[in-house]
Amino acid sequence: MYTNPRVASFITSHFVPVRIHIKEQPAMWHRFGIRWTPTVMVLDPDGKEQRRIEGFLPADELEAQLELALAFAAVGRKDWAEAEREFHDVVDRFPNTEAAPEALYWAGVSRYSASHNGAELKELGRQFRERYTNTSWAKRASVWT
Amino acid sequence: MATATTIGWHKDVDAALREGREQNRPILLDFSAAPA
Repeated sequence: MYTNPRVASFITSHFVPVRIHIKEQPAMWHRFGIRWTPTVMVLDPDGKEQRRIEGFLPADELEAQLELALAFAAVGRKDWAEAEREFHDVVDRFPNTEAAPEALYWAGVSRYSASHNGAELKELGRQFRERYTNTSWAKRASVWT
Repeated sequence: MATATTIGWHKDVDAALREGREQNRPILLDFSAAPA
């Protein structure tokens, strides 16, 4: 999954990367509750899990998921502006990935969390009437339309 | 032209967690069963 130079560069720039071969470190399988390989986990600097990706993903999907994890770390810090920026970045850079509608949803949630303005959620619902209409994220946003 | 980047993988999870905390960087754990 890491032969793509852009993915490798993204990982090197943003993360402390650890590779765990399950035969070399079987105890880690239990420590982190691993069910299948490959599994990629992203932990925030305090060691809290932010994202778990089970199974192979092509380069664009993987990079989008990793950026989503960074955005969720910002949510954990209640840094709503940074979270919204990161989520929008996923939508803009990887619009055709499975991560994109999830990112669009959480960008709206981040904006609302900063403003507590219900109109933001209505606007999010409107966006899902135009994009990603057949996704589970559109269903979740439909309550606000 | 893209330049190949080699990922400097750690093997020690606890050392990586310490490094992440010290440098305020998230940690990526890659669990694999494939031959290295």
